[in-house]
Amino acid sequence: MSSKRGVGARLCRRLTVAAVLGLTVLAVPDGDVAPTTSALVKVERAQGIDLSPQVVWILALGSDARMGQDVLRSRADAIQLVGIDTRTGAATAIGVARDSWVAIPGHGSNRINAALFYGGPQLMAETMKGLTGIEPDYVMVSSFWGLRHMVDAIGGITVDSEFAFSDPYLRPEGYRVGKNKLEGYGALHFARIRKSLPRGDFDRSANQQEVIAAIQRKVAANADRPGFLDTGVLSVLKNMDAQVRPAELFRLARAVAAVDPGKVTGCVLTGSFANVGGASVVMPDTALAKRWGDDARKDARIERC
Amino acid sequence: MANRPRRTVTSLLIPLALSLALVGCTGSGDDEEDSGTPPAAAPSSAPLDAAAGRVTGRMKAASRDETAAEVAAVVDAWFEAAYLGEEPGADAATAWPGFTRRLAVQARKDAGLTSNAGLASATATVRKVRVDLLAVKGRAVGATARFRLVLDTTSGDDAGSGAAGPADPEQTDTGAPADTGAPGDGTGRSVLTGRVSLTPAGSGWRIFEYRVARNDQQGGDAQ
Repeated sequence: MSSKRGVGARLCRRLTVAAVLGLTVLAVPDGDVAPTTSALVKVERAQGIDLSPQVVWILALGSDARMGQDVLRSRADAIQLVGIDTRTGAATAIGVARDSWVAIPGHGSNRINAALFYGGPQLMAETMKGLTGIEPDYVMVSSFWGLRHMVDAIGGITVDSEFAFSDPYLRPEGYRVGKNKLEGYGALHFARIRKSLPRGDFDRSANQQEVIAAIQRKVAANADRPGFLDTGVLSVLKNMDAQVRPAELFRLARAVAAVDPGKVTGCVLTGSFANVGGASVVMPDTALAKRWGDDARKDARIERC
Repeated sequence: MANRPRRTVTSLLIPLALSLALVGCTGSGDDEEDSGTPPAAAPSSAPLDAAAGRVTGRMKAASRDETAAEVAAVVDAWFEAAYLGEEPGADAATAWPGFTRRLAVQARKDAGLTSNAGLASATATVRKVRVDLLAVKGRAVGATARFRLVLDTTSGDDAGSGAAGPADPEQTDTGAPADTGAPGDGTGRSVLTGRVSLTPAGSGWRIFEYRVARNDQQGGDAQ
């Protein structure tokens, strides 16, 4: 990844004024040495990162395990397949509603969130590969309290909410349209509440993507603060079952920080509602899931949701 | 969990000297091969001012200082090879020692910032590195080296003509090295700041990420 930037527009304006003023001073007689009264300094920047693979796919799961339950063998309430192109700084997320009825390898068809219960992170990864064609490089599973602690560890986040909504039990004060500054609990409930959202689980999935994007924005904005990323990595190690070596997580954190917030996109896989054995489920648009997978596999970009 | 130990240069001199020898021994047997061997140090540059920065996680003080010195030595080898001495960074094969092979390819494309390729010579007036460490179970698993490098530079005969270019043809479409020289005398000053991230590789450390900002001035006072 490489980028170069000049000075900001405000600085340019100030320097232009300074340069005009300076011209009058510089109109000195021949032979005199004009003192330096102003300067236009160009600051160039470059960045690069080596991560293998260069486009990394992370399956981020929110487990519905309660305290004392096995986080890795519960059901996945939040299912987000996140791709990062370390060469360009682009990132995208494909969200899947938990009630999506899909093929689970070795277990016939069922709600996608059951894959975690049946076979843990590995089976969830295989199930997502079957749906999107993308095989995740990493699976990160977080509990409710794990997400809360991680958000608190980075000092809270600011989400941009599309809707005003609330929940009488989880968040009676609700969320407003636009920016909401949230601590751990607020972020957790923003990602959990669905009944008061217009499209229920689909909008909740979109909100989960907003939480992920907000965490990335916070990380990117503070990446230059000594120890900030390292504190986040330690928090992930404590609160999330990342199943990777700490040094690998250290590298991943740098890749997340290097994502350009302006190049972050997200799509939520929708479908039709159906009834299977008396249970209400979503029949996902599998052709769309495959198209997104094909679209994003090599550059973590989806042209159109 | 996090603290801010700060040690002076003198406390790091001994481990730094030891680690310089260690760095010279690394590069074989690693999965990520070293991208080059640093040339000899330029004699007139300022000495390295290296110290441990913030440590996140628990780590013994001795281990912290030793690790910080090892990391600083890797970074300083890059300074020497890419920015300092006569015709700095002229050899694309050796300009980025300590970088992973793939990162060295990227750095070559950013040669105007990650090296002084194309300049006649450069000496450092400030060469400062602070090493933040992430420790898990008492051992460093990642390092972030924040640096500040202030250089007095001299352009070649073609200073200011735009003809001076990096040794590697790949660099031509990413911009030649910044023209740091004042027209007429070919001298200038460059201030480089940023950070590099490293993880352990074999018996040493490898740079897998860089973020570099470069500010070129004509006879300025930047320090």
